[in-house]
Amino acid sequence: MKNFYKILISFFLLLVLFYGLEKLYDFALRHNCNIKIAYIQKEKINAEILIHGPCEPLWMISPEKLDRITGLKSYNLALTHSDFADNYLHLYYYLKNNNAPKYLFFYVTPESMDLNYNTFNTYRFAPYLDNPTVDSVIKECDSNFYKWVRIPFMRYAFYNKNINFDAIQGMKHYFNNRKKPYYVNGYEPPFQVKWDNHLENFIQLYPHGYRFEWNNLREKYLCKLIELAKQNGIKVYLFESPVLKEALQYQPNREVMVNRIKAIATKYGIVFKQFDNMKIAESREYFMSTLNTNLKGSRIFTDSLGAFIKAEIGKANHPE
Amino acid sequence: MTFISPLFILFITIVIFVNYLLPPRFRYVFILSVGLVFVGFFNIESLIAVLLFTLFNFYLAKLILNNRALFIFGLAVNALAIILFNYFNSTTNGLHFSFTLISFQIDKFIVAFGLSFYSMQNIAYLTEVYSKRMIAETKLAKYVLYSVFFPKFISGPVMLPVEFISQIDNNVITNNNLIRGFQLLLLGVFKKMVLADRLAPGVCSVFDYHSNYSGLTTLVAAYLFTIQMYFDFSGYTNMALGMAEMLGFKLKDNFNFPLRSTSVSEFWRRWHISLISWFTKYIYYPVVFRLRDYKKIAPLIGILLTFFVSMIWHGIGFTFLAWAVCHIIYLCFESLTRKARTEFSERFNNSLCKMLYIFIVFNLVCFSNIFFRANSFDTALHLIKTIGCNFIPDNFYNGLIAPIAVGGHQIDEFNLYITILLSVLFLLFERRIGNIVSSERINIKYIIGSVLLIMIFGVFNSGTRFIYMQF
Repeated sequence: MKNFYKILISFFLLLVLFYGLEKLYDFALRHNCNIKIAYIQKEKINAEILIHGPCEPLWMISPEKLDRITGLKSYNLALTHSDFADNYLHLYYYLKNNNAPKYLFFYVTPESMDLNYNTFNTYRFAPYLDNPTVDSVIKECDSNFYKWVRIPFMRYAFYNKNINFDAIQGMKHYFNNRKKPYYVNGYEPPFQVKWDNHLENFIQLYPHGYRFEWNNLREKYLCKLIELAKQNGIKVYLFESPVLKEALQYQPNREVMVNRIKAIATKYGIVFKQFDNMKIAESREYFMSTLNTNLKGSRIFTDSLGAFIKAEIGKANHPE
Repeated sequence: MTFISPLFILFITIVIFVNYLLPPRFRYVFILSVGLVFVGFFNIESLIAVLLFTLFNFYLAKLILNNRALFIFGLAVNALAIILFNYFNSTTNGLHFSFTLISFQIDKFIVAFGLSFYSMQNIAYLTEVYSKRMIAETKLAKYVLYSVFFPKFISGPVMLPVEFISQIDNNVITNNNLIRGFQLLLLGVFKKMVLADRLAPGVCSVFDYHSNYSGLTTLVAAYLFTIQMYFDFSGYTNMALGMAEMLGFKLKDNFNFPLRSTSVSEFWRRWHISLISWFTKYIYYPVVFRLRDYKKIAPLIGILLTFFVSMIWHGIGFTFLAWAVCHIIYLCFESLTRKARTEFSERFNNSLCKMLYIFIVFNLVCFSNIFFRANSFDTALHLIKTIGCNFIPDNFYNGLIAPIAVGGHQIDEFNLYITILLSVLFLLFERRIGNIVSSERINIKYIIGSVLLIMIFGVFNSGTRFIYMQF
């Protein structure tokens, strides 16, 4: 009988502890300014140009530079390794607390449509599971995680490797009363200066080239993202940054994928801009991997993108 | 269905609960049925293969008494199963048989999980019966249970028939069994999820993508792999022991603090004890006995043959051969220098020397484990070469921390430090934790502490299997 009570006490103590920990993590993660989804809900950014997508735009497009070129305020909402569902939820939360931007520049490439590239990072949304939109996206994109989340604290335990550090940092930000993130305008300069051998490893893995596979879930969330932006009166542009030319020979169906992306753009009456004719695409000097330019390449690309945006703004202001 | 999955948690909870409620005489039939479901869950071919082997061994055991030819035939069939299983494991496409009229393909996945462990038990059973150390089991159900008892089915511990079958009729489950079993199970889950699975990515990063790393990085990865394998396999064993105890059975422990060994021979007395006991009993001792007239050479040949068989058991390939050769050299050296070493350790018998011995043995084991873990012999040689030639990384952070932390971000570094801290703390307090777990008193602090650590630091989404499941 004594043992039975001990087990019962342990069980209830654990439940209380899990409940408490869940609240503590929830609080801490919402106070971490470096987490974009937390920051965009606390601060009014109200950018006029929003850059969005995975790591490529995050490391390549400096809003500071864009602001100078275009004369409009911009913000980089992109996140590393994020897929369209991830991007969709970030845009959804951005629009909840901020005025809708005038322009959304959204990064889309054949890689974005393939499940082997990028992913849905469930842990980023763990504190927001109570929101029905988040709940339904997670249910669809990470069912393995979803079946555990009703257990107290499990929403944080499941991906704790990605969360513990952020939670500790969140508490630090709370006690230090920190309001601004480390990267204020969302842009993170490329962390790597040297070529990272990604292409060599890729060729070793796929000596006869790699055929991209179109994923319908990715397409669904790309469409949802475009629709969400359009509902909020945002002018959407899809774009693809320069791809290192020597890598193209190992991607036999790249063109087919690009055509399908163009078809989506046409369906929604939006522009899909490719920066495939830029000179930098011909040399490794400007890249750290096939898709990611280094700091030198990023500066050149941001200039081109800025010029394009400026021209588009000009067109919008003077339609004739 | 691995030991760490929602389905298995549900499965084991129901099994333990139902088994506890059943009258003792029905329990073995119940556990037997559960075992068959467990094996069949992997795939139905596994179940058929296991049942055929079990029937073969069960009926053969009745005929082998005084029939040497049949006994050898039985041993050969079981040994062949191990060799074929390891052959399938080392190829990707299985084996294609082609006769004039019949042509069929045996896919590698048809071969049952745990066949190596399972065949060893059958060999032990036939040998025991043939040498009249035990009477052939008369009840088929009990023998099948011995074969497919699910906690030990996949990766052991290897039990001798006499050790297990005798427990079937005396199955008693007390509250103490449940408490100790649960605490052991929790310890196993902790070792696997919090320690082994957190170490795994860093080890993979170096061993599988080894081209650019420094010698120091490789050496650290080799250390971490040995520690990872220890946590992984001893975690599995703790879980198996815990589940068995909650079902009223006692299994052999496989580990006795092996990383504290002061000699390689001591290491092998503390590491994978059940397997080594099997090798010692059925290979080493018979060889040494046969060659008893050659006193100096007999143990050396015994070591040579034991590790040769151990190599075949682990896998067919140059990497396992090199691993076995390393241990043959270590053990032969120890055997030849026993006298001198004993005198030396008597003269220098202080804790500092003991720590030095532990460090040397740990390094020797880690060195051999480079072959054990590497994907190919060439890779192993390349890794060893980097340790010898390119030891210090150009940049300490990018060269050492980043590859093992699997990423160059603060968060990766934080995770690496946490993992190392937890591993070191566990190794330091391992004996004390072991005492808490094996006590028959329920320890609330231990249960709450370990569950909390599992929830905060455990890896839930690794999808990695236990390392020894491949054997």
